[in-house]
Amino acid sequence: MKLSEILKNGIIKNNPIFVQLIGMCSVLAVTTSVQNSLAMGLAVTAVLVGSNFVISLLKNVIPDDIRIPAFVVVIATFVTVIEMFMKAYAQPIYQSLGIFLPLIVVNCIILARAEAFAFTNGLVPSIVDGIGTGLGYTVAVLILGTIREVFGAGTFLGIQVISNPIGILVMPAGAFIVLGILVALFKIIMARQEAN
Amino acid sequence: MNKTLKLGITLLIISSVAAGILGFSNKATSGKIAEIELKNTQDALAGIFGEFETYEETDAAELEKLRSTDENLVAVYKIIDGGETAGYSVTTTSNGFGGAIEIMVGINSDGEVLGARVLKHSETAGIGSKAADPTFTDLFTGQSASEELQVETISGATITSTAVIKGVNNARLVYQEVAAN
Repeated sequence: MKLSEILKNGIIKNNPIFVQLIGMCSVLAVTTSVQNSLAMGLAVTAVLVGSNFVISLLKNVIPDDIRIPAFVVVIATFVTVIEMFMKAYAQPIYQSLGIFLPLIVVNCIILARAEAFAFTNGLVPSIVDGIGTGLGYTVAVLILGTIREVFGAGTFLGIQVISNPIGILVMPAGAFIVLGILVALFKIIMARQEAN
Repeated sequence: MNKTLKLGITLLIISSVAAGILGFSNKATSGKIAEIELKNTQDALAGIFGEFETYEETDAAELEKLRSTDENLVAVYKIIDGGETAGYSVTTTSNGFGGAIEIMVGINSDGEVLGARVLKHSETAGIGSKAADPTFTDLFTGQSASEELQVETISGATITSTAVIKGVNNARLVYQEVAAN
């Protein structure tokens, strides 16, 4: 597979949110604001690239039988390091992400890429796959976060933009409704493109 | 047996390297984190009390005793200005809609509430978070700490406002106890 194809695969064809629908818990929880969505997207991307890199590097060292615990150790290390640095240098974002930052450890997107891609592919393709999947995730949570913050809270990055927001959009129910509409739209666009 | 041992050792090596990396990043960030936490406390105290000379943190043993009044008590600071006790700041938590809400309440030595601030919360943005805004918490300012503090809840954010009111009142009870000593 060409590198550009791997990248496109992560962002569009196999978008973790809109197509695979995995890692939903944190997606529904953090997308109440654009700032949180962006921070979460970047944190997930950083962990994905890091863990894909290390796991691809160690794929000949890690025995098959214990690959899952080994993956979890690698992922947990990256997440904890990022958490420490965020706490030290990006305190407000660290506080607003709360529990969902350490929970990236159990985010199945990252484990899935480690298992399905990095463990069987070379170093460079694995990094590209991490970037692609991470970008796909970031774009998806940003779209969700923007719609929910603008129409649900009436603000964009904390600045008032509309005066009568639809309150339910920032509630958990609103997350499901917006996500459902976006998944449907994404399917229509993909189907149109394939038909052409 | 041999295979099991090999697997165990491989995992041990991977984990040891991970532990080393974690120890190193902890060393690199812990100083900065402690500094930020100290600054957050100082900023919060300055936001309520304005300028003051210094402050003293109540020690753990004393806090443990005060927890019989408020089990969620986090910290108590004694504010000292001009060599005298100018007031107390009480930090506590209260359960809102999305988890614990951390509240700091400053009360001067005359028993007047100088201000209440929500330090940390995870309430729904745009709904519950309204009750964490200073526009709501400023309503406590100027009330007397000798009786129950009363503020009207925000419609649509009832759970969060009730939690904030409860937290502030628990802090008031703790204040009464420390001020009486």
